[in-house]
Amino acid sequence: MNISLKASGVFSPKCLIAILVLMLASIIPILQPSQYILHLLILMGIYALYSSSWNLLAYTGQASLGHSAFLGLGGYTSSLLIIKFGVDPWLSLLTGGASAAAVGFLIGLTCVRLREWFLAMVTFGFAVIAETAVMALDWVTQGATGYATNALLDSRVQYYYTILVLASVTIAIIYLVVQSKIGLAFSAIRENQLEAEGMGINTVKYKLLAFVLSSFFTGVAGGFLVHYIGYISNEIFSFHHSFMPLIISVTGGLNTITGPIIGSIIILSIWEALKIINPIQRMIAIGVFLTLVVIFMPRGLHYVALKVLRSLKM
Amino acid sequence: MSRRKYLKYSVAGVAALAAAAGGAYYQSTTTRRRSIKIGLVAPFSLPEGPDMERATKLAVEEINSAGGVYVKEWGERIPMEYVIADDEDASPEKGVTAVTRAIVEDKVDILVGAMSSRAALAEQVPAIKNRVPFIITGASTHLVTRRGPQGNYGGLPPGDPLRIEDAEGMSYMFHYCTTTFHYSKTIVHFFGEYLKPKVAPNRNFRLAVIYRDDPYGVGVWNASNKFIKDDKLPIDIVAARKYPPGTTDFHAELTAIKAAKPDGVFAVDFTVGTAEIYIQGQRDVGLNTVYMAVEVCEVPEFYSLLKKWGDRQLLESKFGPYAGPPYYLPLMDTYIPKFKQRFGLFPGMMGADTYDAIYIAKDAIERAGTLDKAKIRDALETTKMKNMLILTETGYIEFGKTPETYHEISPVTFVEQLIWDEKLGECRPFIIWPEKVPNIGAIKQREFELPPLYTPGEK
Amino acid sequence: MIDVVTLSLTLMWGVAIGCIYILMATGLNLIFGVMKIVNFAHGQLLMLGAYMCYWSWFILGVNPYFAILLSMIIVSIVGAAVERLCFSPIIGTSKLNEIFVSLGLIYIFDYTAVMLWTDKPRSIVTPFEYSTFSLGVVAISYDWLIAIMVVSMILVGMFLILAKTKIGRAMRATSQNMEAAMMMGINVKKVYTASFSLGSALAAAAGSLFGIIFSLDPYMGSLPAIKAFAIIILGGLGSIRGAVIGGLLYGIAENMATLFLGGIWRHAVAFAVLIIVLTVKPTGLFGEGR
Repeated sequence: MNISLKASGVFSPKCLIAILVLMLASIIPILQPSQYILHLLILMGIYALYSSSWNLLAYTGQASLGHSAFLGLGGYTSSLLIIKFGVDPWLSLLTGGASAAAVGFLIGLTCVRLREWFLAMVTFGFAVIAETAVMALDWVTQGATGYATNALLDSRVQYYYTILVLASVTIAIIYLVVQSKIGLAFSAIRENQLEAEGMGINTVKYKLLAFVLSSFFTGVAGGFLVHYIGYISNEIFSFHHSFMPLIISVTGGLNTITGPIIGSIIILSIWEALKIINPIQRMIAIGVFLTLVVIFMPRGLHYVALKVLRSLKM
Repeated sequence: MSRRKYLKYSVAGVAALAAAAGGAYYQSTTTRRRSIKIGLVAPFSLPEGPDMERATKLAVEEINSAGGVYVKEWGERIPMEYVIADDEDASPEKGVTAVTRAIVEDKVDILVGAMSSRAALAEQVPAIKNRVPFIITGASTHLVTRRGPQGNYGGLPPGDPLRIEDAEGMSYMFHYCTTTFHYSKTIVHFFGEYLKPKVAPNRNFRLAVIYRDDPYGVGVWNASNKFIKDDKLPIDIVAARKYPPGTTDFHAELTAIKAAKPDGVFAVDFTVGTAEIYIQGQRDVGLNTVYMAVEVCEVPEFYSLLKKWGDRQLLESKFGPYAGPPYYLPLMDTYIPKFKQRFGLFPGMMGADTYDAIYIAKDAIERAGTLDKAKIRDALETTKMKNMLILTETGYIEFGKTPETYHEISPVTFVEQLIWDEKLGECRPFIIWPEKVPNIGAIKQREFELPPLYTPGEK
Repeated sequence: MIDVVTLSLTLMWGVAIGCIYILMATGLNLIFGVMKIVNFAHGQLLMLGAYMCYWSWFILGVNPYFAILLSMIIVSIVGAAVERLCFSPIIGTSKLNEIFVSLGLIYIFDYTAVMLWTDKPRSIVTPFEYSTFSLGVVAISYDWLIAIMVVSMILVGMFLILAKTKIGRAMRATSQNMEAAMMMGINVKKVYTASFSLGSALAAAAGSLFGIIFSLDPYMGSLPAIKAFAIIILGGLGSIRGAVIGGLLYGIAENMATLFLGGIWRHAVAFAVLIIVLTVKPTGLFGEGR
């Protein structure tokens, strides 16, 4: 189980660290970083939000390989509501999340009986089906050509603060869920589903709850992403988008709160830093990096950091 | 290439990786004087990216070995360099990141490239906002230059987020590429005006269209329909099959097309897909008709993949590196051997636009006499260069000024027929249509002949 | 609108392409059956196999069908190395780590191939390129017929290895109960490496056939790998019979969807079939219950 998630008060060291990190993060724009750095920070925020939601589902032992379906659904719903019906942008962002959650509920229903690879393939298949549906509805989604989306805000600084708040609030909610009785049920299901059932936990209910919460937050992340980038096409359902939260969460530390945050910062930085080499070599380097990460740090950076901290204390 | 060379490559691979990282850093810190920086926007997870880079490299090397670019303001010749803005698989998200980085961190003077429409429409936005000239050499949609006020918003309805109100920013966008309109027009006119009387004198031409479901495929489909209707061409579309990109197994599609009894098949895909359609259609499905492909297949691999299955089949083109020598444009006589010597490969179609665009950038900077971006934009607007690798209607490279042609060129495209060459073991193209091009003269190289097994769709 | 001839021809092509899917799925399933891991980078071994076949044909000038054998040998060695270096250290840690390592391998294999051999598509020409066998309404090329024969031969060969050889028996024992096999003195590590390399050889054979019938390029592996993955889930993990029937079913579903609904539905319908099967039977058509 996870040591970092033990119950703790508001003034616990962990909470203080979180507040300190948030304060540091909120003064970054005052240092006037370049538009490019700001852009990367915003993307990191979006991916932290996205990966944390994915991780919440993985917390119940349900690893999805098709989360891009929810990212895309959130993105399409939110942007179409604004364009076609002029709905308030923030309301449509939430509606995007809700529609993703509704579909997540349905997918969850088909998945409750499935384990591991079967579940992975069904979620993956749903991403394929969602993409096909978007392509088939090309009279409204404009298929592969895609369409431009409305900007939510005027400047990158505003986007930065918004995603900072959005991601922090979401991660705080996820933290509270994981800390509560629900979280205990989640991890019991992950460790051993039969035992959990024996303990009287309604596994179907909790699995569905995890699906709904995870897809809701992913839908919101998707809406934010497409409004920020300013464009949406079926590319949002790409394998890249499905695998990214897995890469980020495993690198950072699976089933931890900090894992997806550290992971998205590290992964996006490395992806960008490697651009100084030739694009082909860069891809090979990314592959080597991923392979080494999992061989040498199978439990992620979170645990490496904890180890280092502990050895410093002693 | 020998096997030993491959062994050497693989051993050197790891070392190169480390050295490249260090080298790139060293290079960027030891540039003594300011050089002109081109940002090459290209997808390096797709085959087009490397082709665009090769063409850029060749153009930049040529310009530098000739002394560089003369900047009047500084009174000296300045070398040119390029940085890569990799949008990977032509993704809007990665494109925005890459272009923002090129503009903000690498401080490029001008951007060149962008292959796919959806990526181009997203990644041109940072360039518009930052007022960086962008010569777009891919992107089959005309919206990249017409989505602003100067292009009457490309016909977009008010409130569409694709519309860009920033007229000043839009004036920095230039489109040096054929669009789906150009080649679809050539192709349907060829079918309706030239082929129809030969195979179906007493009825309409029965056309089957098989196209990939992406902006390019759908764009060609829409444009073809528009021209058939607007120009009242005697063509009936008897089958229209849309499939996801990446498909290689076309048996079901082609079986359905055969059942529709077409007089000709129009295949809209890139090299691999198109070659598979030609081969599976003739070899497996027995659809013995005439096949037509789009200019994006004008790459060496198309000919090696097709083998004898390409014999007497058709290809629309704007750049025919195989249709000669002698070539229809003088520059091709030197470009093609140079490219082959430098990279050991035949040049592809995407690279040709990029190569021209680097020279267009050089020409504009020299005429502007400064690296001031607004002045470079002004100079680009008054570009008037002789055709390089791409034919245009006037024989000159000029960017349009009317709302219907805003910052676009007016390219000429033609139809080639592939003829099997026993000695080479590959097909070679010959221009068959049209007869001649304004300001260039006759370009036709051979008389069209129907494929030997050709059977018309109906009596 | 759709006549019988069109329908039966489409069915036939579904079966034909299904045969190649079977080969991929069987290799992947063999690895899963024994090691309980799914190698997402199976498609990359397929790609490597296609290239090995191509180069054996191109450089050594051997017959492409003979080159399949060379390709299988080379890729089985590569497969063994991949198992030792990448999968062996993480086996048993978590399913996600296996996916993660496969993702890394996909990047490494795909782009190393681009670096070494460029990304230009290539094709293998057999001596039968232009010869066809007439069946009345349709003519089938000899290459297709040989490919289907090769698939059957390889499946029979694999069956014999599993049934008659010592290592084959050890594989079956390990697949049924790893701990019991260990106690019986079977070197499980060796069995893992052997099954991974046998699975890789099957991928190489599938890749070579792909290269002969279609074409090859560095990115050719991803889509077939996903299909193979879907097929073994459909047929049941670890079940060879499931892989055979799943492969045919997938090929037919894909082609029928293309004919009736249009090409954009081909993947969606195949996955919809998968989801429906799993809703009814959560371990796939022939999967063992838990």
